[in-house]
Amino acid sequence: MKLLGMQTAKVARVAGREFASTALTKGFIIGALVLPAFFAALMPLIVFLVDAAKPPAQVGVVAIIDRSQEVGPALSESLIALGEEDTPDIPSPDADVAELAGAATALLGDAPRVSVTLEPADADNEVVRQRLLEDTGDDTQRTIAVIDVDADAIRRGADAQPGDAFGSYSVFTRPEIDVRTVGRMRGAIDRTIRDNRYAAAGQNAEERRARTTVQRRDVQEVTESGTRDSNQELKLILPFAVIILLFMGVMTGGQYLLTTTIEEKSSRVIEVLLSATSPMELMLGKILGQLGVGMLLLLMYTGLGIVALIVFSMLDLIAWTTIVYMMIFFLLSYIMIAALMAAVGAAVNELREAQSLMGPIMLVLMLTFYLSFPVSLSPSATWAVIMSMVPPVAPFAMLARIASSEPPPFWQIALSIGTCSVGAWLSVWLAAKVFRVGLLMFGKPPNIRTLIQWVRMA
Amino acid sequence: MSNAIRMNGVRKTFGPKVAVEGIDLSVPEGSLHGFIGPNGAGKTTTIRMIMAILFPDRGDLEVLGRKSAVESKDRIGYLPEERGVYKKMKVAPFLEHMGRLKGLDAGPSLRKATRDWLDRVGLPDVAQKKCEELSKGMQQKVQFIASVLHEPDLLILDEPFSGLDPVNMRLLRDLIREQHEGGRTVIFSTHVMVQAEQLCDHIVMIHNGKKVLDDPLGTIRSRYEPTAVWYEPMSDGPTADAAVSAIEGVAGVGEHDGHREALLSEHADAGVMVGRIAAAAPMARVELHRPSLEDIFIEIVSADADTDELQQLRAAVRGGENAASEAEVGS
Repeated sequence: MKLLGMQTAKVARVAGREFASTALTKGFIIGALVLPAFFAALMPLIVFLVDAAKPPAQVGVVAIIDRSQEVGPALSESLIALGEEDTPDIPSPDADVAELAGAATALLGDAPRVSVTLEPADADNEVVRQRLLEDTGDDTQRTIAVIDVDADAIRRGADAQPGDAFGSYSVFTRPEIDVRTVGRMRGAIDRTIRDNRYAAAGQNAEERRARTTVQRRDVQEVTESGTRDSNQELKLILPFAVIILLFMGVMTGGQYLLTTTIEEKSSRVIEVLLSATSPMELMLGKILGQLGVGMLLLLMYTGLGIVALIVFSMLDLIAWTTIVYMMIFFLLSYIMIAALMAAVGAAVNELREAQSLMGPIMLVLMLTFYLSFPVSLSPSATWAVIMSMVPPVAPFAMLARIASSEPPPFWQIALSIGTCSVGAWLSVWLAAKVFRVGLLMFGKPPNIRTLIQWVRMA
Repeated sequence: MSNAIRMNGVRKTFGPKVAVEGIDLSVPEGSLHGFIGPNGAGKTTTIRMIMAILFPDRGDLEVLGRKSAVESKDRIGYLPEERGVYKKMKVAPFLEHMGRLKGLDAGPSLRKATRDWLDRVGLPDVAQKKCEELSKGMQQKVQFIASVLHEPDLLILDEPFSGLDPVNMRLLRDLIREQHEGGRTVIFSTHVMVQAEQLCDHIVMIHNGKKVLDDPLGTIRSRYEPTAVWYEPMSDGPTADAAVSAIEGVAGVGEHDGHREALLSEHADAGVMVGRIAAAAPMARVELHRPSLEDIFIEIVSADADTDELQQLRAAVRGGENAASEAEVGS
């Protein structure tokens, strides 16, 4: 049977070999199945290593210059108390602070165990800071930090107006002090200064904290099957996941296509193939074969995601139409990019030579990929609508909009499919010309100018 | 008899370089045509245009009654000059893949045909070996099978003997003859003219992209009458040469390819001259020397070439001493 002057049986035969020679190899199976499973299994190990990498319990002396003369003792107590608590001080209005703090402790490591020296309020900062350079030989006696509290940190100056900012404090440390240790000390200092400001204003600090804290409860979603916790975060992640899947499918198929075309050319089997097929049949067969590879990956990972959603009873998070549109836009995006990659593969003699010609294609693809993230956050913005209509950005941008919380109207999706189809056709038309001429060109690799000449020549 | 190939005023350029210029050609069905000429003459470009791998800038072309080989690729077998196989693919699956691309149905008959051909070319044990494990000569035989597996009406072989040892050269020549005797039209190109002389019934000579000769081998031989007699005196010395050079009709004596050679005058009768030379002095051997295709080629192009160019061309069409001697061993 013939279609557009091509023998479909030959196209199918080329596609079949292309698919089998890629997808039925150990390398592909390892890359597509084993590696993701390996990384999933690696996650607990990574968490363990992060935990093991927590900073050591740092010890030493903290010198406090309290120019306000109001908060020094309280600061001393807070800093010393750090060494007695296991959870870091994380200011949060949520009731789940303990839970958060517990999780953070695993990352932040043991609390610093410090002693404190209160310096005179008029102490020279420069002189006190010199201690940070001294080596006492005993870690517990060395000064690890100097805290210099402003005079108006607790009470504003006499000239200050209501609403003016209070004074603050400066922290000086040794270079080797871990940033996480400093963070915990600053948390304690912030809380102590805040409590003392409340007290200076005649307010009970704990009561004030209680009054300013509004406990947040999870948003509940009401569905036909009942009420459940909302998955706002997952909804936010969904467009990103879909875009990444699309990118992965396009890149994988395109890269394989590039590699196999170069292999066929460099092994000189290409002329044997051209004696049996037309260049167009060959190119289309190869594109379709690798489309199958990309589609297989896409379906496999999408399927895994759907299984996970089913397991957690969240299948309704993703509409089935999104999956259908993902497949349609994958097809269009893949054809646009893969045709160009096939042309590059036909134009060069080895993979190394392809790098310079791949540059513009990769640039377009990366730009397309990254631009789709802001689109997913502002799916109805004018610029997002325009981007979702203009190939080659359109498939990614439109899919990001479809998977967002504000799906576009159907006519926009249809229009985008239309413009992408035209883009894919143009890409194949252009690529076919380069492919036909390039396949039998050996020697010096072409530059962009030469490729344009080939297009005119073909 | 209808033509398997017809070309009319075909021209092909690559940028400023004219690869093929105004070639007219008719290849009757069932003939065995040899395309000869030095490397870079335009043979491969002509063949690629016949195969619709390249397309002419100008001129008409018909292959097996169709306007383009694209429409009759399944009826054509092609062994390109640049050999290539899927290195990681096993031999039998590779051949079956090529057979299917040529329109054969997958199944026991294709597998059997593949096995039979591997047996015939002396490679019965390589079916499940990867192509990359085969020697270059073996790969060439596998590729020949790929070109004939689908029993084509037209078989085009571009430099089929290059890289083969004398034994395999003889095997391949027998297989080509067999294909021809089976009624197929066979075209093969070579830059080693001895090979064409041994195999073809029709010669097309190409030089600098132009056809300079297109005749049956018999016609060429009759047109280019012998112009020299090779002789071997019983004893060394100038006596025999002097006697031969004194014969009426001998334009001069000299040495050619290690043979003593008497060049005949324009109107001298070659048959008579053999007798006269044999009688001039005691001779171990006297032989009428017919011009080879190489000589004819050199004679044709000599008008446009200087001495250095002629020497280079002669070396090119001989394909080096090794190629020529291999051809002789294989004959």
